[in-house]
Amino acid sequence: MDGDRRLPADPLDPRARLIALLGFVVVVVATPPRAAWPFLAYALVPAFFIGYERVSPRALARRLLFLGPLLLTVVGTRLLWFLLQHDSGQPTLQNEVWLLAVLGMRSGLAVLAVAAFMGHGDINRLAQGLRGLGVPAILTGVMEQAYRYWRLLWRELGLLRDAAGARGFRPRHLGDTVTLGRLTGSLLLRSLQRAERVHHAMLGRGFAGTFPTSHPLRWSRYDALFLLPALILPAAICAASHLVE
Amino acid sequence: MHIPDGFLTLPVAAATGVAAATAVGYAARRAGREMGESAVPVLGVSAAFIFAAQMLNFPVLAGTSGHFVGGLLACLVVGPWNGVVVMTAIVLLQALLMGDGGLTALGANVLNMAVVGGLLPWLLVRALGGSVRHTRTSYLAVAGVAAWLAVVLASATCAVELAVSGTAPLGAVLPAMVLVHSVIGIGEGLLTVGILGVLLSSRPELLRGYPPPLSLSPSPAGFRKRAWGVAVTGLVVAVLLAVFVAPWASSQPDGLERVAETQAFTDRATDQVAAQTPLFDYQFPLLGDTPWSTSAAGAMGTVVLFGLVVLLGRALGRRASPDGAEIGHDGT
Repeated sequence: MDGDRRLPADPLDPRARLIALLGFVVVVVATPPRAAWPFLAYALVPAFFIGYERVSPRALARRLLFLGPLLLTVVGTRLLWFLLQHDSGQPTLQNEVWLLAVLGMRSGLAVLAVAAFMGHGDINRLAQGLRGLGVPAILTGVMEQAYRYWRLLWRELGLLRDAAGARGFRPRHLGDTVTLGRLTGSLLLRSLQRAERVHHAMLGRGFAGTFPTSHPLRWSRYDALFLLPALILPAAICAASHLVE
Repeated sequence: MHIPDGFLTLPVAAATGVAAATAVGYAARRAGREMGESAVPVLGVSAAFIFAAQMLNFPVLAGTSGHFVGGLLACLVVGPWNGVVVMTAIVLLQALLMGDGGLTALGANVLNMAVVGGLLPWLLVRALGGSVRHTRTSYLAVAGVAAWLAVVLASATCAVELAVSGTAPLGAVLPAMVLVHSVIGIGEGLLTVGILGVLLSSRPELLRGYPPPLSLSPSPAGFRKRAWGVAVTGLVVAVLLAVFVAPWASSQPDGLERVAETQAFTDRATDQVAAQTPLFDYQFPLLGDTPWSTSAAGAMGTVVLFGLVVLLGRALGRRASPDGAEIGHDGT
């Protein structure tokens, strides 16, 4: 996510990255859950690009952690349901564990693909790519602005919490949430005032609703070299998994 | 509540994707038209705020914590259509740069957090906020309840999507999700009340649509419009309850059945006439004996009853006022 770094994959058209990501994920989700080998084979594709783009293991682990809550909910509910239904001739525990493993493999591969194909994604290029693929400009513009300001606002929220902590406020139970809300509300107030200032500054620089870009979108041979392994290899694995029983 | 890739089947992903794309496409058009070129910076910084606030954990129960969603807050602060754009931008950013939420599940996540978790509760605030006697306290109370409802409805929709995809059985995942999010929703409601309280105290003009349109002696058209607003909101809530809650009602006998059992006159009951009715025993004829059948029967019964009450109300209104003048024009 360090937009300034010049990396080997920089010449790529952002549309190629997005198409590769979407194609890979759709193929992985469409693969029938018959055997583990196609999923292991798929992992080679993001693994190659993760190595090539030097994505840090910490960033990868952080992304994989996002899977935790919902995966745990599904595991818990499926296993509970299995225990309740076990006597009435429902699927075996082995089947349940296999289905949960497939869920984990599919979602894990998709997270790896995001890291591999968007690894050091520059937000401006990403927004440009999305616009190129037909996403409304207002949506990509809001996305760019949100990405620019969220860290700043998060830091400010931290400062507000530190200041409240210094005055003895420690949220311990649900009742403290209103106070937390008031803290957050003062940040929203500042954010909206900041938005007005940002708007005036942008108008001063000639903003008229769209962001100018220095690199126009253009397909190149790098995109073909990138898309071939990123799309054809997973498609071939998927086709083979359908053929091999 | 972000659904990752692989949890939804491709048909479910495609259906939710089309629904979300339609809603977001319309919202984007309206947002651009309403705010002009100022839309991007104002909505962008608002989105950054919601994004930062989503990382704010609050204590829930026994060492666990929940996090803010903010769909309703976005709609209340920047307007409903802008709110949908803001929430979609956040979900898109999280999916593409953070890996939080799947790409094939993008439509479902937008539908859950921006439409069901933002636009629907905003409609409730709009309808109720304009119908009850307007005070700061009543506005905050309605917003707090709507924020709670937003989280619960979004979690229920998420559970249904997972169940339709075969990822988790509806009978287990719906109660689990709704139960956990009912508690998390309290935090969402309290946070929303706290945030709105600050805005109302300092700069109420920043809240779009505040105060909700209400005059103490409303015009006939305004009175009718608000009455319909309340009625339609009530219908939506009733249908949602019928669809999501009715299938999980207790199968234990009710008070009359218990008395009939203890007094031994249960066998006198006959179903000969009732069995001829289209929704006999809360089952929809085409769906067999499944939870979906109960949901469909509940939804259909609710809508039919609503229609009958509306027709009855109109008929009684005409009889009470034979010259054609309608009752309640002065709001009394």
